[in-house]
Amino acid sequence: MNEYKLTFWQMKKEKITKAIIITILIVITLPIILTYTWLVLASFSTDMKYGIIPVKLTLHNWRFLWKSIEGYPPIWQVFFNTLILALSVMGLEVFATILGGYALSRFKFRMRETLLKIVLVIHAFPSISLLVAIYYILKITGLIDTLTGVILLKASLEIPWGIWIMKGFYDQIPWEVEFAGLVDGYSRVQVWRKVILPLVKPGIAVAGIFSFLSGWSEFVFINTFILSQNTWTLSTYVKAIIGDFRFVDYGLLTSISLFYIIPTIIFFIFANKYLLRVNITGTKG
Amino acid sequence: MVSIRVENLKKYFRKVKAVDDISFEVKNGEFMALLGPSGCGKTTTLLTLAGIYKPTSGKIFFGDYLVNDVQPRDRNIGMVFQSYALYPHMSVYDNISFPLKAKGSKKREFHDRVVNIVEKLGIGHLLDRKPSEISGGQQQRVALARALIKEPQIFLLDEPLSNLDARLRVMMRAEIKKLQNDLRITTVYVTHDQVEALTMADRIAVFSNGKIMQIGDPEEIYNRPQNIFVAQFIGNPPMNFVEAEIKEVEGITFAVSKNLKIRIDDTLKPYLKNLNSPNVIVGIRPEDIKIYKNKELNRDLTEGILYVIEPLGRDEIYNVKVGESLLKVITEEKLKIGVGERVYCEFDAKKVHIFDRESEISIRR
Repeated sequence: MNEYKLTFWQMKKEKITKAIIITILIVITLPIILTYTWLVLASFSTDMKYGIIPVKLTLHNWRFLWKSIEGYPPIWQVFFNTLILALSVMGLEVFATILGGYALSRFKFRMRETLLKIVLVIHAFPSISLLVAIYYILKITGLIDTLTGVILLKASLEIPWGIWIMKGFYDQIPWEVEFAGLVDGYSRVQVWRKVILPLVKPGIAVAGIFSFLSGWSEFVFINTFILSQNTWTLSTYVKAIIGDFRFVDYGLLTSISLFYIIPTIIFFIFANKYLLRVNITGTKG
Repeated sequence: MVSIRVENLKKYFRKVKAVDDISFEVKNGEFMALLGPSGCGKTTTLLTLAGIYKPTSGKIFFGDYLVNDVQPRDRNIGMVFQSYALYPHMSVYDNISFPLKAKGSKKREFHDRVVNIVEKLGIGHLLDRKPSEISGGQQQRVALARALIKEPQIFLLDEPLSNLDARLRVMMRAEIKKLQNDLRITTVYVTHDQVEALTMADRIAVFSNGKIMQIGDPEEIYNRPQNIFVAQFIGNPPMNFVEAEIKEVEGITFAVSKNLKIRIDDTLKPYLKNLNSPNVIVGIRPEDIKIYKNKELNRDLTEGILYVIEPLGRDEIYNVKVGESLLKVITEEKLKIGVGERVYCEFDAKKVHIFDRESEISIRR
């Protein structure tokens, strides 16, 4: 370790800079932290004094967990709908991207470059501009008002991006490792399964997590294409409570919002170690 | 064990001729080195032998079998890669036993074999580690073990030592040679390091631009290079080259340039008829030049100025300026000569190499 002789002013300057940076960070994150704190407090309180101070502890707002709210479908049905949607989107995406990413990374074929560009461009379109066209397609295929329709739709819009991510991870694996597998007595498919796939695990995790979350939080398509209450998901449920024509039950709204966030938080806790290993190009050794 | 025969092998990548019509044979149990600068097609040749690349045209035989369309996994080869290409997610034990599992054998069947080979290579204490947790030299041994565990009939190595530090490289050189010698397994070894090729191989094929420039045993490659490329590629410090003209003066044949006159030994004379013109390039190795401080009588000496001295510990390289050209002379003798002083060089007439200036081919073809 080198020891530097810092003058008094240099040390002061360093401390001041640090203090400024920390202040800025606090100011930026404060709204986010306050919002969530308010959400938690409000959900367990009967009323908020001046809108911010909790008055009396209660579980009344969480009653939707054990009894259904009048005029709304039972919460667990909605929860499972959401879960099915998220998991199916994840499953489809992982399946498609581990294959597609490998092909785009490893095989040389005509139009490969063009295909990669098109995939990016397609992903860049705001999906809301496709609503009308999609409506017709779903109508013709008879998938309107079904979860399957939304699952297929969501997955197909998420897959291109996932393929790019997976391609980045495959690109990181040297050809020599694949060659070694071939020479060691395996077919190309076996090498892919036994050698390559375990090495892109972080990529699979990333694609899986993001597609799960995007399925979990999907709102536009559900709101547009799902009409009947028994195929609602949590996002439509929250929206319905906000848009209730009678009166808005803010307590209920806060607790349901929190309920909606919980799986996301759990997912992130588990996925953290994979997400941190991702950089722009893929995974670090 | 089996022999390898390559006939008119070509491998093009689009329009790039990576391997351009080469033929060679590796005998049963022989250690063959493919030597050449980077990008000369030697690794492509090796990967084609492994079956990873399909030849554009030409034939590859293992023994009597044409293997052009045989998959890598069915060729019964063991291969070591430059980067070792160990499987990062598997332990050393799993890496080494991976080729055996391909044949569906169970742990109790192959366990003894794994233990056997790791003991031999001195990596027995590393079996539970991951490749990232062991040193480069140890990774190298794991790669060797993985390649040899299934007792392949052909052993292919792609610059296996180039990622090791200098000391380890010298050690592993001897070890790989010993291993090959014990197993007597047909081996093809790709390298750009002439020392590796010369010290390890039974025979060497020198590559340049996708073509084989010369095939021969190390002695032949070193002492009788067929062309200028081989002559300048092999040997360190490299061979000295001088443009000259063949002339006969009073019954003695000389190669003469502006500042030099090199006598040509009688043993070389019969080959001179291979020349189309008297214009030649004369090559002489640094160790075939003697250097004197004083002009001695009765010797054919060439005068020069000492340009710089490079001490190598045991030897010294003297750079001598003769006219415009710089000659490198290597000798064990320590001459007490200062830079800038006058020196006298004597060329060993028997060891002179003569190349046609046009075709760059040796007269002793």
